Amino acid sequence: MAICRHFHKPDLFLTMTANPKWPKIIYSLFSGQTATDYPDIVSWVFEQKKKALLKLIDNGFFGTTVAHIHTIEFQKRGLPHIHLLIFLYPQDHIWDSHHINSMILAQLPDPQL
Amino acid sequence: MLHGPCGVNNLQAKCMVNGKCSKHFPKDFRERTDWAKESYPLYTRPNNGLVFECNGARFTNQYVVSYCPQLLLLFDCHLNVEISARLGTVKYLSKYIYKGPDRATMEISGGMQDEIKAHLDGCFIGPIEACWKIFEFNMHRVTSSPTSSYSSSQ
Repeated sequence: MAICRHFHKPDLFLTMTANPKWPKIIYSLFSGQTATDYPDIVSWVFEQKKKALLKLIDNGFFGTTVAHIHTIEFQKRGLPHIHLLIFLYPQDHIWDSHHINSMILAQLPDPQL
Repeated sequence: MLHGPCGVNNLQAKCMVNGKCSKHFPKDFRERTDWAKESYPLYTRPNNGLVFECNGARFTNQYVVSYCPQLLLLFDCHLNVEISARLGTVKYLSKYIYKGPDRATMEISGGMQDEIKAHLDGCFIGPIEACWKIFEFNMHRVTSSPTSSYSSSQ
């Protein structure tokens, strides 16, 4: 609650789960192996992806960020999963539906693309 | 990112509670995004006849979980983005910090029946989680934590 008092309301809520078929993981495996055989590689790759994501967001992907909070949890299947809350600067707050549409979609993509 | 199949097509789905999807899927079609402050936005879900078929299930725009197309293209994994409208989400994240490790109750039964029988409140850590902790990657992080003025003045 102290966080909210300080930064006001969070603007965006993002979740990301590791993909065991990421090329970086697949290239490291010998034939016949799956990502579950190398938990160290999966956690390394996920850490790198997490860093890339945070860097992208800090560089203003959604707008200038004031702060972010994240926690990592592990699913029962074992894959890591990040929950990330992003606080934006007041001038970059999300105000109207056009702004939302430019960032977030909830429809199937156009098959022509 | 699609949710389901659940609802009438699959009553055995995990999200089904009392015959209804606990995540409120399938959602209604909607031609434009509506957003009332202090609530979750209702995203555009046009009824444009687009259907995606996978494993014999048919998905329309009603089953799509909100996403950010640019990030999906970059990261190629399950990545959902949503407008966070409530303060409760901060509390929800803190829950994971204090929840502690997952627990599993195990029963050990050896070759000789009824002789070795014990219930253990075992601590369940998956291999990836174990590696994550060995490498000392952080489990949670706040970019700048506000400190109370009381403690800083001491």
